[in-house]
This record gives sequence, C-alpha cells and structure tokens, in this order.
Amino acid sequence: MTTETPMEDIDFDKEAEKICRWGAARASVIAVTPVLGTVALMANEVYMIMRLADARGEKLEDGAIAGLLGSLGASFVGQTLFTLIPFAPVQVPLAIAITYGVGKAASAWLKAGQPADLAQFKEVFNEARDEGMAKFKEFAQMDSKDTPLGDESKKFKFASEPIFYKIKDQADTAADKVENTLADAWKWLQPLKEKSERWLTAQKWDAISHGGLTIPYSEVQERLEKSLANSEFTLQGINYCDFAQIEVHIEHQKHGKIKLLLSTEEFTINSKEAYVRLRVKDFEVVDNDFAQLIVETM
Amino acid sequence: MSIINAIFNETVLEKEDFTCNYYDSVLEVHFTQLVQNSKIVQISFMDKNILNFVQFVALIPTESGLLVKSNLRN
Repeated sequence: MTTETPMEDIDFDKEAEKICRWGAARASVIAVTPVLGTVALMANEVYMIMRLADARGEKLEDGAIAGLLGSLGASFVGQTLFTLIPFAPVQVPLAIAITYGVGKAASAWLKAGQPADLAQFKEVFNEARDEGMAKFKEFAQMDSKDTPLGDESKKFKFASEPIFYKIKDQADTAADKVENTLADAWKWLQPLKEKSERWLTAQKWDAISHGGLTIPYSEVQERLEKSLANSEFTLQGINYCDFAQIEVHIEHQKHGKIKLLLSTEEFTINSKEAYVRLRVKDFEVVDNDFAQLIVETM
Repeated sequence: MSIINAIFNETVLEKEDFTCNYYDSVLEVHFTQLVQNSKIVQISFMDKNILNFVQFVALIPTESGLLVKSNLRN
C-alpha cells in the first residue's frame, strides 16, 4: 500500500458527498434483490462509512461504526425491518433515504473529529434522510450504483484495512449478485403486488422511523386462516377496535360463532422463544348455537 | 367472562407453526417455530444473528394493523 497521500488536492466535502450518494444509489439496487436483503444493506452502510473515513485519512476504532449506527437508534432498526416488507416501491426509497442519512451523519461526525457525543448527529441524519427521500429517484438512477465509488488512484490512506476489506468483500459480492438477480427480483415481486399494497397501506412513516413495522390485519388473517385449516375453529375476521384492542370473529365447528375483544398483554420475540399473550376483554355471542352452549355450560 | 373461561379453559390448539392456549381469560399464542423458520432469524450481521442486535418490545393493535415495535439492543 502506498503511504504517500496527496490530501491537499482533495475536496473532502465533495468526496464525502459522492460517497454518500454512491452508498444511497447502491442501496437502491441491493434493496430490490431478495437474496441480499438486510445484511448487504448493512454491509453497504458500513462500507460507505469506511470509505468516508478513508477519504479523510481518519482511523476508525473497531467499535466506532457500531457506536455511530447505534446512536441513530430506532431509525436504523427501522431499515432492518423495511427489508422484510415484500414491496420494492417501499424498500427502495427508504433504503436510499436512510443510507444517505447514515452517510451524511457519518461524514459530519468524521469532520468533527469523531466526538464521543454522537447525539448531535441524529439531527444531521434526520435532515439528510428527508433529503434522500425527496431525491430518491435521482439517486436510484445514478450510474455509480453498480460500480464502486471513488478513484483509488488518488491514494487515499486506507487506515482501517481489516474491517474495510471484510466489508468490501461483502459489498462487492453483493454487487456481483445484483446484476444476475435483479431481473429475477422483479419477476418475484410481481405476483406479490396485491400483498405488497396491503403492506404499503398499513405502514406509517412515524412508526417506521421509530423502528415499528405494521403487519396488516389482512396478512394476519390470511396466515391464521391457513394455520387453522382442518381444525375445529375457523377464523372469520380480525379487525381493529377502539382503545388498542382487536376484534376477532371465530366460528367453532359445533358451537357456532363468537366475537372476542382482545388486548395485548405481553409480546416477546427472541432467538429462543416467540409468543404473544392476549387478554380477552369482552365477548359477544353471534348466533344461537353458541348461546345454547353457554346456557348449557351455565 | 367466566362463561368464556368455562368453555375454553385449558383449551390447547396445536398447529404446525404455532400453539394456542387459553386459560383464565388469557389467550397465549406461541409461534417460536414460525419465527425460527422465518427470514428474520436467517439474517446475520458481523457473524451474529440479527436478533442479537434488534429486540421486539411490543405488539400494539392500530387501525391499520398490528404494530410491532422494536429497539436496538444496547
């Protein structure tokens, strides 16, 4: 590696902007490729930050990137969740916007000399994310989305090589796969159009930006209907009721129909277990068969 | 509510990817298998499972659907 670095000839802010746009453009391609998904998007962001640091000749400590991304908190988590939404028109603008936001925040943080207090860069992230959202079409059309950004002949000082190459390998592998799988991705997404529209309609930007993903009731219903097939219960409908409660209509093979009013009491998903505890707040007998059973029970 | 308890108490419904259990006005749905077979647990980052970084903290019914809230783990 060459150690001579003609830093004086480089406009750092301009280079940083190019890298941020490259990262955002690259995210637009990665986002629509199902086989790549979240890992490649994250790798793309980390790769972008490494590039930004290298462009400035800054050395990054191992935990610095994780610290920066962590300081962006729920918005960054939100991106993780976006990749689970099977709908490219949602994934692409959001992936672009958030990647651009991460890049600009990282750039400001590096320019400020990597201060320990990262909270101040959250605002930079939010503003840049909104800018990225407004310009997502422009970024998505950039030619650089398929090629590595930056001219390495400028002999930037690659101060953090080990992590850089680890991430670089992932990102470059991702780019190779993108070319081969993009066409398939669109074919894959086409049949999901109706389903995707459900997801799109259900999402609220405010919830997403705070790490929340809304699962449409129609999706829950479809899943439960399939799961309950060949059982004594049939799910007839699930919908929202006032005060954060859900109304579930079920039919029992023998006893008839009943409507339950449920509220969530506990919810856990981790690598070992996943469950939800719902409290029945009220019920309503919908037809006579069930009423008869209740009378008999009493 | 005691009527519902009388009818459904101790009712267990076991399906391929989830188990439903009703007791004392509480409907508990376990979907561990569903999650373990899903895309999310197959995602890893820096050689760690994504669930090591993200925790799901609440499920809130809203008008448009069930809102799953999440946080980055510290």
